Amino acid sequence: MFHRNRRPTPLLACMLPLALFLLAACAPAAGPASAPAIRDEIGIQLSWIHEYSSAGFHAAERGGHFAAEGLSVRLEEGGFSENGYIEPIDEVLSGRLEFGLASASSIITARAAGRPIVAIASVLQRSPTAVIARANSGIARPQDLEGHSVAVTSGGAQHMLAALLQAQKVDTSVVRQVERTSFGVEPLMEGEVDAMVGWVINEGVQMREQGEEPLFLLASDYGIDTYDFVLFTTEELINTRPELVERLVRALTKGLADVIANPERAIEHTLSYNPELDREGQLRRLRATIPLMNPPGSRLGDMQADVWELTQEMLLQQGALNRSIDLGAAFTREFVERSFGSE
Amino acid sequence: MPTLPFWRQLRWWLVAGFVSLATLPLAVVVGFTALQVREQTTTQIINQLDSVVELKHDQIRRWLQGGHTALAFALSQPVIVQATLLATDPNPEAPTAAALSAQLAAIINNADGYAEGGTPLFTELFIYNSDGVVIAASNPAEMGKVVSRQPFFEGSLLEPRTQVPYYTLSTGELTMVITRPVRGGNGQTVGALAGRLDMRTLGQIMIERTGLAESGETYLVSREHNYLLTPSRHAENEQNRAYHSQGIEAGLAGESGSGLYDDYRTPAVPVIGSYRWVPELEAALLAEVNQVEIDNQFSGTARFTILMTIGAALIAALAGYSAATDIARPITTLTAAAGRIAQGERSERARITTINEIGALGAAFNHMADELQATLDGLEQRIAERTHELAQANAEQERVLAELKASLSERDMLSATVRELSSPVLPLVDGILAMPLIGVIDTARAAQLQEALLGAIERHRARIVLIDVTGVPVIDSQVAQALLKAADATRLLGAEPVLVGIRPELAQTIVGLGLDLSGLVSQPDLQAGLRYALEWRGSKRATAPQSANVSPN
Repeated sequence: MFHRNRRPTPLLACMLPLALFLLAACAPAAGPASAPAIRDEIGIQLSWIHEYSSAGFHAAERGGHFAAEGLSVRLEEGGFSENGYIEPIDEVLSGRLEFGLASASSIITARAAGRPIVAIASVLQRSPTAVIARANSGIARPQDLEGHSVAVTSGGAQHMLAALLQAQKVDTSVVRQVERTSFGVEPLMEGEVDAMVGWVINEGVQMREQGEEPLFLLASDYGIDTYDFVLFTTEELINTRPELVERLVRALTKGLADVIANPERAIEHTLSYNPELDREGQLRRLRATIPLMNPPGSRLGDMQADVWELTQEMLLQQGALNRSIDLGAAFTREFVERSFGSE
Repeated sequence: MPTLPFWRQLRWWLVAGFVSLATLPLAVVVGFTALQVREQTTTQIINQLDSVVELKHDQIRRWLQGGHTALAFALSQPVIVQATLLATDPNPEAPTAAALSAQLAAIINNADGYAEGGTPLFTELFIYNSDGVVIAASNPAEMGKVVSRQPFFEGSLLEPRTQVPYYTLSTGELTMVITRPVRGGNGQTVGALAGRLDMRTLGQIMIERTGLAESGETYLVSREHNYLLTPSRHAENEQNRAYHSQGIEAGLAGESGSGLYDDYRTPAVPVIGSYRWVPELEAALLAEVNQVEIDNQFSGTARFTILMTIGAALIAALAGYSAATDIARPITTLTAAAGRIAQGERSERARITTINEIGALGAAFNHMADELQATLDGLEQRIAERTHELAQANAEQERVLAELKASLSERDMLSATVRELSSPVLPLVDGILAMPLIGVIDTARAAQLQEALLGAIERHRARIVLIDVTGVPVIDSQVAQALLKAADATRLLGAEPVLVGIRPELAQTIVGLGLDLSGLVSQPDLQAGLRYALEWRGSKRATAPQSANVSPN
């Protein structure tokens, strides 16, 4: 649940008129207070540590967009704790925080399990998922993967690969799928595998940093797309405080616009949350991410029904979902549509 | 004449005056002209930039037109038939697809008629069906891709379209796609032919510095995040970054115009820019040159005018110096002549031959000198005469003085005689002397009187002396003292002094003064005195007189 600011204590309540009087006496020319009267404290569970992927949130906070919407936002970093991966959906449903970030497939899966969460905005308009190979590997099309090995982590990435291969009528029996064991690109660099499923904004940049020109078979180019960074909240909050959700979405789209307009400053904001990050590396990744945030013909934070359908289709085909859900209840464009033009 | 410091010298003042007179108006004119020339240069550069923008926009339009013509031409070829067939049965591996792809590749390679300036028009051609599935492509890697969510897909099945440039997600490269619908035999749209334009050609169009100065640059800025659509001439500026400037914002706002502003670079460089909205690319087209170009173009004119000013200043300085010398030289001559005249060389004259005001001044000066000389000479003559007269008068005075001195010594002798005569001592009878005193008795006469009296007493062995003061007008204390002293001295010589002739007013004076003459025998007149003396001498021989104080009266 969210918390309203506590009412002033009696002592403060007594002193407030006096303070206001003094203020009025001292600064008769001062205009009305610019800070909104309402101030809501909310928490957002990020899906990973503080880094470039959350730059839009950092920018919204440091750029004052949350504050301008009367929001006091606590950004909780995700990733792994001693209890394993911090699952944002669990955190939000537990009531510890009001908002979280998760992939569209996680949200569909959670909805299918009867968990009342709703997607309200997507940070990226295209999935960064791609089959990554070395530029000189001779792999230029999904069909070229036949007879080669591909490293892939189970779950979402594997679903994407399977959907891609299936759509492109690739003979999966001759594509050797290997479980990815590291976050790095070493297996590919060292020739252990011929390709790997990763993100163009992460592994792709990593390869370039190590002096290897990558080749991407971007899933979205083949009509395989999903949303990987989706802001969600509970049905309850949407029903009880829709204006709060709207304010958050509006602030986030402004933060995203700031990131696109000035990536260097955005990275400074991100570094203020996590000073241990490598500035240049983060900036390269953020620059690679920006085209996915706002490709031509899209709007910041927006979500398309066909991508949700595609995601569900993929989950159904891969057996990760055994029945269709009502996608209309899983996501809503109500809030992003209201933020259009405000960025 | 002492030399003046140069800043006080007339000639340098005149030189400075001439130079200022020559350069100040010139400087004003030059400055005014400079402003005008600068303004004209700016206008000229802006006009130039405007035509460059116009030219570039035209080239862009022709480039896009060329692309569409090429697509239309390709669609007029037999490929259309195969495309229709494929569209209904999309199978990238089908032999027809391979043949069609080969044909598209051939169109790409066979650049004749499509290329602009030697660079290829397209990097690839591909055909997609109404679902957006690529069914034929000059680049085999494109086969099978789904373009339905690509920005160029929407509306591409209805009419020829030009998609504004965007960055591809897979390669991160800037790309631009133009499309034309592919219609089947029955006029039904079955897909679209797409050409990916070679952005290097656009870059080429923009980078050619047609008629622009060295610092000139033409570039396109996309409305999409303010990215550069063509490479910056400054390598450090990547294309896919947001760039801002007054010109960029104005162009993106759909305005056409020009101005002086700071460009997109960091740090910004002041430029003159012309901007225009290019609807075909949804981008701002800008042509800019560094503002220093104004000065570069202007500097030729400026150098000429500066040289002219310096030349004029030099000529003015020379003229000034010459004129100043002409004026100053006779003045110096005049000053020198005046100096020598002041030192006494009265015959000195200023040699001034100029026929102008200074010549007149010289003549007047010489005339003045003549007058002065004449006056001074006359004055000297008169002084000599006067001196002679004075010497004569002096000699006369000296002579008079000598005469005066002689006269004075004579008078002294006379005075001694008078003195002697003024205190006569007369022996009346044996043993009796009379000393008649006449006139005022002063100290000197008193002493002389005493001396004469004592001398006579001794000489005449007198026993009685009659001191007659009948002729003495006044007896003061001094005279009284002198008389008492004389009486005392007389007694010491053994003679008896008898004072005679005290008149009543004298007696009154003596009493008034409190003088004591009691020691003296007094007789009213000489006759009585003589009688007394005779009696005293007779009695003396018998008896001494009883009382000296007894007056016969």
